Amino acid sequence: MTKDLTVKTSLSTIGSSVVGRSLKCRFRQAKHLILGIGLLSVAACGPLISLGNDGPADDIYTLRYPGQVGAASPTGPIIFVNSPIMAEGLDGRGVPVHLENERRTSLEGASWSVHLGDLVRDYVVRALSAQTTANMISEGGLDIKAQCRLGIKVWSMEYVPGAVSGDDRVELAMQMSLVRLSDSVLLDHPTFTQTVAVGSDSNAAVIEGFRTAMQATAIDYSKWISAHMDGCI
Amino acid sequence: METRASHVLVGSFVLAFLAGILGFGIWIANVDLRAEYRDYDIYFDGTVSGLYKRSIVYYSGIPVGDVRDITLDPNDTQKVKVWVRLKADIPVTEGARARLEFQGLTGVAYVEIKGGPRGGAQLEPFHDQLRAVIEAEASTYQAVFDSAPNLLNEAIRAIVQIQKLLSDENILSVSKVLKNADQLTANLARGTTDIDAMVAEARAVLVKATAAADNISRLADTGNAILETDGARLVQEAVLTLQAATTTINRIDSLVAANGENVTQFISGSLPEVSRMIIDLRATAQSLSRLMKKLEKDPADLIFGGKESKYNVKTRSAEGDEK
Repeated sequence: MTKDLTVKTSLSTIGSSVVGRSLKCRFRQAKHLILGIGLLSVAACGPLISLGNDGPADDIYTLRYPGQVGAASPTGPIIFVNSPIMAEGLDGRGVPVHLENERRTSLEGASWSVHLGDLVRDYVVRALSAQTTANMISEGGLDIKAQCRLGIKVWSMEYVPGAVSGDDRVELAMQMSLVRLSDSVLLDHPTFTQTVAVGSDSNAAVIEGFRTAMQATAIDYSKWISAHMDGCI
Repeated sequence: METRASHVLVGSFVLAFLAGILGFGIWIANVDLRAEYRDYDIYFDGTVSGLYKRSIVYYSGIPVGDVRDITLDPNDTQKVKVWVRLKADIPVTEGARARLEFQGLTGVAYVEIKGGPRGGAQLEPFHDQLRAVIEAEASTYQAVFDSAPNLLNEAIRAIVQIQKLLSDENILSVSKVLKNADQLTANLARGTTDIDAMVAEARAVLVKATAAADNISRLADTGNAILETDGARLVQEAVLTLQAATTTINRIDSLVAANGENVTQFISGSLPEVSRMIIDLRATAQSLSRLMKKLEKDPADLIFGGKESKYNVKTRSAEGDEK
């Protein structure tokens, strides 16, 4: 009786293994078929997909504060700089251009090295570290207890072409908010504006206008932080 | 024929007649020829108006002598020296006092002497004094007369103050006060009806309060009954719950105590980062929302990029502008 049962079990095991192999082969064939159809479809859509411009590559620009990296100050307050909130259309790698009739575009042949918001944040941190006694932290400042938080809203940071070449300018409007974290009191929130004329008809001149505007604004908000940072302590 | 008279008889008759007249005069004058007297001096301060020579001197109300002379004190003209003569048997001892008194309202003055203490030595003159001196003291009338000018001044001052008090302005004010008081009393009289109504309302409120107290009492009785039945079970469950909570709190407490440094680091360091992370998440959510809207609106634009024109600085135009 026991032998009969053992024979039946071994037969059924052999039968099931045969059936499993045939199913795997069929599934593999169906997968190859689907892959082939997909490749044919992609090949058919070739004219529709553009994988890049065929023209010359853009010049990559950055905005770097020209001064030295500021040293840590033992007496100054620790201020955390928020990532700037960029107005509509300003955040991106394109160099913003404001045309007449409220049209917006970007500069041809030029782009920022990273998103403009990141460039502005790093510029502000380095400028304030160099020009004030405050200890500025931003991204990467984990586990550091800051006394104040600096919020930045960039309302305008764009190239505005004029009617003629001499009227071209770069406009910058940046609002800052200094908040004391111990009691969430808003210490001040001024807006700094700059308008810089662009020297010539070249992308480099336009970028130079951006740099000049950022430098002039940095002087203003550094004085403002120096005047209000005692309120953080 | 010449009458023969007896000169001896006539002379005797005349002498007897004169003696009779002298005796009659002495009897009439009530002169006590056997009486003995003592003289004293009294020095009064101030006036002795109404006192004359022969004025009577009393001792405890009894006439015992008279005033012999009234002169100014040669040593002090502010004083009046009165010489009195008293019967020798009057006990004027040391400590005796003399006062000037007046008889009624007639203005006739007399000297009243008050004897010294019993058993005292008889008052005698000192070495160079002619007569013994009785000490004078101010009488009641003298005190009144002395203080009369001051009293008059005080009275005049009081009258002036009263005149000020009763000035027209004050009288007007008092009149107003009286008028107000009259109005007040009239109002009170009229308000008695309101007070009666108020008392009636208070009585009604008290009745309601009594009813409410009864209801509260019944409620308390009901509450007691509930507490006695279900309350005990509830309390027991609450105790068990509290015990469990205490155990949990103790565990948390020991956990926090064992990891105090880490907890402090978390609170001081990581919590602000959580706050920042929440802000970043909010911004990310907004970006995702914009991305989804863009995807819904034009998926091809999202995947393959939009048809954005570029501005050329050299040509001063954007692609697509009419040249």
